[in-house]
Amino acid sequence: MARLCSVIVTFAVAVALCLAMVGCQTPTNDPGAGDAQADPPNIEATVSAALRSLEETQPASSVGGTNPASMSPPSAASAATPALQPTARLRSASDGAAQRPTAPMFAGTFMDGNDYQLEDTVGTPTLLMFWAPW
Amino acid sequence: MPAVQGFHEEYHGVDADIVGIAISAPEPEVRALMDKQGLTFPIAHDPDGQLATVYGVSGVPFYIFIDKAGRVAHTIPGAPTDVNTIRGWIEDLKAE
Repeated sequence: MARLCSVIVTFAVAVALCLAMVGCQTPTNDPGAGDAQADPPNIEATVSAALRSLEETQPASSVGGTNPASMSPPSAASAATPALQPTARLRSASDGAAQRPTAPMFAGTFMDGNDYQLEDTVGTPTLLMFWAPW
Repeated sequence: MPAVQGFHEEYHGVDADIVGIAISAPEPEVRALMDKQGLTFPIAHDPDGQLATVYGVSGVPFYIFIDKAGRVAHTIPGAPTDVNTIRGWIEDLKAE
């Protein structure tokens, strides 16, 4: 049934195209046929130009997000992101972080009976508090 | 001391570590104070002050802030008068 419908639709489209072509040729029989006869080449040229235009636009539309033009903003953003890292490093350097002395490391058994080594805290800020109960 | 315990409860296991070093006192006295004040952060006992000497500690209390790279960033001799300043230094070290 669906196949029959598609055949009917195809036939109807073909008939419509034929009628349209006849309609286009009709003006050639008119007195101003001289002007009208020059139109088909113009139409072909227009269609050709349209096809070329489609061919030219097709690659850009088919690649979508991977279009080099559309990649420009992300690449610009990704180029800006690494630029922030040196800025952060410069900020640390300006704060004198590079000149900070290395903390003496130590290890041993703490009051709670657990073994502890200061080296395990590298990677997180640490506050050492020296105190006495008196 | 309660302020340091508060810092430990706020930062321990998340973004910063608090370590206490009890110096120049017998261990029972240190434990008694720990129990009395409910101190739960790691505390080392340095009865002879050897570690304090290595760090140049001139008196107690004495605070030393170590950055994430294991370097001494700040030293504060004496009791801190502004808790928010200590909190700010910890936050700065976290942000580095």
